Amino acid sequence: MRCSKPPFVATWLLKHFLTSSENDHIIGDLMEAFQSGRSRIWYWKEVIAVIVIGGSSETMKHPLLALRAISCGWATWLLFYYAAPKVLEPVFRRIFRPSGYPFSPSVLFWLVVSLLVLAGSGWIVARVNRPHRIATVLLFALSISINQLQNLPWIWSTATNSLNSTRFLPYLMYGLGVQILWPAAILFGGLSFRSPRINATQRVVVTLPKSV
Amino acid sequence: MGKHQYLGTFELAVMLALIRLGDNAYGIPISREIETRGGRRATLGSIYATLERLETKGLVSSEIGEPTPERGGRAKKYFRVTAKGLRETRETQRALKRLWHGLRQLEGSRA
Repeated sequence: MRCSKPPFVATWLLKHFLTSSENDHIIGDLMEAFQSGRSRIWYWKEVIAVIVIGGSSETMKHPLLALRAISCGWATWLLFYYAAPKVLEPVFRRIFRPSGYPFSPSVLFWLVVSLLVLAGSGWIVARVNRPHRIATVLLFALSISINQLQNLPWIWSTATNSLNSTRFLPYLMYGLGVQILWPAAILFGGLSFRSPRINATQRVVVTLPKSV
Repeated sequence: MGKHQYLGTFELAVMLALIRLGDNAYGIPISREIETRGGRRATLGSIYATLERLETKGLVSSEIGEPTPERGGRAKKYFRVTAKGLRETRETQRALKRLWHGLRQLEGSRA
């Protein structure tokens, strides 16, 4: 029997990653089509297309703004990536015993710190390009993901080694986890940013009568 | 020659679907129209991106309709071709006819 509700995750993505706030009718259209018999695969395809096409057309309208915001995000990330180990290493060595094992406290600590920094850089990207924050944050996350593709040969060799020996499995899990968690942290940080809105009550200007 | 910005293939398909649908032109019927008559699948994302572009050019206008339960209480957005949009579509048709005219390779069933 066919489920009458559209995929929850896809709808959630649609609500949070649609680049314009006036896109409620698109969600309505997709729901209507799903109710009239379209498949779940069709729904997912449409959701991804709406997000990708909407995001890219939004970015193409203001490419320089997007470039500036993404540069800020990359600058934050690179600053951490190259400077943090040198600055924090001496302090860090006193707390944790250095280890290369993926789930050791030292490696997990670095992973958590990197996730926090990436979430922060996502927040900065959203703040720099407020009017088009979702499209720009998506693009920034995509650029980090593409950069991460350089790890694919290592992941591939670890995956093949894992087939022969289970001791490689934690390394594989860690490598795959980073591939997913880093862009996810950026999206989390970017979506956490809320543009300050001035509501009607805050706009009221009180003019007092001049005292005699 | 006038200073016309001729419509692209997909823009033209969307405009023709809007003209055909009249007052009932919103996302789903537009995509169905392009699929059944145009013989190509069009995602809602590409249709709405095109409609937004056409609206910016002043060729299309839009208004929010009534919300319905099967849409999760969300309203429809209806689109309508403006007078300028009709003119541009007609001009594109004429331009295509002129380009088509006299091409023997494309005449009859040989092409």
